[in-house]
Amino acid sequence: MPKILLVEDNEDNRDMLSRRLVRKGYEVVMAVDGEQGVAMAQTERPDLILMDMSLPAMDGWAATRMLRGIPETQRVPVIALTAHAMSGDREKAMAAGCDDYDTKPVELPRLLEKIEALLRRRQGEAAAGA
Amino acid sequence: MTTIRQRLQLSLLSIVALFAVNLVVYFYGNKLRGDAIEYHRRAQSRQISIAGIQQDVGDLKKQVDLLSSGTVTTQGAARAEDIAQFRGRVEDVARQTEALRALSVGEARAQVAAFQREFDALSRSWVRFYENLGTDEAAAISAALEAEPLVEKVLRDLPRMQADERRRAQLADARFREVHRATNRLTITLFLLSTLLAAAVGFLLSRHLSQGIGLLEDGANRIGSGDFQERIPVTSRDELGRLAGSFNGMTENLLAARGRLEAVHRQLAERHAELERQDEALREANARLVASERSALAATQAKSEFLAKMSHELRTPLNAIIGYSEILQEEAEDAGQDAFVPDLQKIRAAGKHLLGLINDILDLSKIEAGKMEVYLETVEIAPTIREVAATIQPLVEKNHNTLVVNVADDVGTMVTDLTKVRQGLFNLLSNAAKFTERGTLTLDVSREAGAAGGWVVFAVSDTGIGMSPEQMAKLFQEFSQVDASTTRKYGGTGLGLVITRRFCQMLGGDVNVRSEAGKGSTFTMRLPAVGIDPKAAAQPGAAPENGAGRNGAEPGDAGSRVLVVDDDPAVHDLLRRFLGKEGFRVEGALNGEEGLRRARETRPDVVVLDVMMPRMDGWATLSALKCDPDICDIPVIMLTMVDDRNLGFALGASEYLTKPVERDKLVDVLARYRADPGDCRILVVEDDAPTRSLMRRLLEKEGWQVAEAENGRLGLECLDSVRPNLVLLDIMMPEVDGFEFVAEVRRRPEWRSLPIVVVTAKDLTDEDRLRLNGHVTRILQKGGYSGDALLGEVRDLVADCVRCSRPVAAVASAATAPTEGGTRAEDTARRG
Repeated sequence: MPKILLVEDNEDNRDMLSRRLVRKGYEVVMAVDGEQGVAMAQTERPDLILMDMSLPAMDGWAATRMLRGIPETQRVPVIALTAHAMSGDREKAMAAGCDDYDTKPVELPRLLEKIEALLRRRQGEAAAGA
Repeated sequence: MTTIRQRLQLSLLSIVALFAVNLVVYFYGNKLRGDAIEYHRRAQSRQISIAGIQQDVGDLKKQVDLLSSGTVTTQGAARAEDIAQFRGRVEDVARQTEALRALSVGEARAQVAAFQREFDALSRSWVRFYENLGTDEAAAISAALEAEPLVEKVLRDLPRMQADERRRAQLADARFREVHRATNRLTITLFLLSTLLAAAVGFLLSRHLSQGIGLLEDGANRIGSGDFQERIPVTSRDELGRLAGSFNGMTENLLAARGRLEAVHRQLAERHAELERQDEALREANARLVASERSALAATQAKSEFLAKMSHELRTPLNAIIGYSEILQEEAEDAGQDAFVPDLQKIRAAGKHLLGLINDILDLSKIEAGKMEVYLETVEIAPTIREVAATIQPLVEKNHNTLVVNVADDVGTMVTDLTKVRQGLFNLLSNAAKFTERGTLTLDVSREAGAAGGWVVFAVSDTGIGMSPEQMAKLFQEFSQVDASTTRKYGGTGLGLVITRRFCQMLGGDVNVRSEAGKGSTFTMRLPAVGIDPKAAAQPGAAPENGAGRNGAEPGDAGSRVLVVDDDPAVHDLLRRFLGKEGFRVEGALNGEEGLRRARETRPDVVVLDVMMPRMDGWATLSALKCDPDICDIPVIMLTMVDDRNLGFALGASEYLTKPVERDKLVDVLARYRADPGDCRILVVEDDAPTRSLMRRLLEKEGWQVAEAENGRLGLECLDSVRPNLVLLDIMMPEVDGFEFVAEVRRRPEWRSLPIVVVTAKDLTDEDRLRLNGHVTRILQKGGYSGDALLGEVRDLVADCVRCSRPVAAVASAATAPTEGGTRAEDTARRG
């Protein structure tokens, strides 16, 4: 069962997305801000991280950059979630080290596709690495 | 008394008369003296004559006596010759007597005449005696006896006559003296009199003149000092009196003139006061205008911020509503409770509709606040259309419609804002799908020839309800869906078409509609194949492409173009000569209106603007330039006699130079604005060494010169030596941070217009942005950019900045919200 770390400050969003992901068969752990997200990424060792970009304490951009600097989390796929879709958000997310991005409110099927794709790629990499 | 002239004439005449009298006296006295002398002389001559006669008579008597006593006895008769001699002597005396008589006048002449008669008788007696002597003794004796008493008388008379003459001579002498004395006295008296008269006349006249002139002088002085009530007393009717009279007349005239002048002055003063009041009123009105403009700007800003914030606040709960309704729907389906599903679907649909409304309103408010940005990129048209068609498919199928897509084979690519084109197409297609049931929607995409790459035409046709001409007329107005009932029936905000039209216009195209009620509608979006970014200073046909290999070099560029706006053609010639040699092309406009028109037509690299011009002055021209979004980014250099830098910079001038034109300074300043990207220096101020060297590598690859500074302080220090065309600035740095750097740079007039691009990892707060607002050209979030993206941004900025060194104030408003405004393709796709 793939483990997903959901970093999201809004309780409703956190609750909705986690419930829907759980129902789709994922194990979900949650963090409420960037700092906690980075910490949990190291302790929980998730297979994938869903990262909201506008977070208190440390925002998603900074958290992602930090994750990329930590060996344990360097290769964990990160999908950026932004509240308002801006031109360049995708580029920004990629530049910060995210692997993909999506906009809120999430369109669950689309997000699931992205999650599946990244997880498959990671498994492939892991297999290749092994 | 009469006039001074007459008085002078009279005085002169009297002096001349006195002088004449003096002369007469002199000559008359002379004559009297001459007469007296002559009289005296004659008296003396007569005395001498009488003495001579007396002598002769005595001699004759002696001879006779001698003869008479001797002859009686002894002597014979007298010889004839002795008688003749005697006769001769007697006649001689008679002649002398005659001469004496001729000399005498008056009483003396009578005396002489008497003497003549006596002597005549005597001489006859004597001659008879002599003749008878010797011959006739008796006769002789009787003659002698006869002669005796005569001789006695004659000899008595002669001394008497002599004494008389002596007396006369003395008389004449006395008369001479008397006349001499009298004339002398008279002459002296007259001389004294003349002198006295002259002195008196001179004294009186000078006293009169000096008194009169003194009065005139006093009066003139008093009048001269402004006392026009003063009158000079008229004491006489002479020239001075007349002069005083004229002077008084002149004073009257002056008084009257001064009265008129004072009246005019009062009128002028009132007019001046009136003008000042008007001026004051104008100033106040101006201040109010400025204040209201400021508050309007602030209000717009506040409104946009409020809307942005509100839309976020609205979206968060809305997202929860939509999300939970989806979850409930899924759970209801899983639990087999299908009865709930339609209601949950309605909740979700309503939430989506509301979200669409909020997004539309946000879009519209951004457009109206001028904050909607255009991102031009090269778009493959056919795949984009395929994607749009796929996304819209569910909506098309909802009303049992069919979508037919016809894309021409040669459609290729276009340079445009993909998001806006996509949103426009979604809007048109979803409209068509909403208003059509069991019909066909057709999307035709084709190219149309034209200037600068021609046009791309997107036509969306449907077989739906169509519209009447009246309905079409209101179609593109905000919140005016065909009617309120339509909203209820078909949903939608009525804003989609408005937004679509505004987007098309921003891209240089438009959207229009053909329709007939009951027969369906065709909406046609017509966009330039090479889109125009209204904010960028791109030349027509040189729209930026985001591909690599474009470094801003303009092929065949014949030098930077300078538009000189000055009413003095000599300035045009001068600048043409100065700048022609430096490789600038100088164009001229002789007044503000022409300058504006030419700026719009030719888009020069820089405008050189005078202030003092007829009709539309430089300030008005500057304001107009900066208010026109098409040309507000052209830097304006003020070149004027008027030294009002603050006003110039406040109105958006990039530089301020004063006339007379200094060639070197002008060339130096213009060099900063010339289009010469080949020689572009970029200063990277960044404390993180890896980032710095990464930037250097990226920028140098583009052929730009790069200078590095580790912090703000070092950056400021090397500013003068590097003279960068652009600064890439980090915010969080030791010693002098980015904020201080910007503030310091903007404090220095020579760097006032230096473009600064902030590249920062710091998540800038509103306060931070406010500090930077208006001072930096662009803010880029460092973390959010890949190398390519950052480079792309920087490249565009460098090209823009170098080409025309965007004036900071003009770009600031366009660049304040780089993290807002953008693509919402997916959202739009689902919009109701």
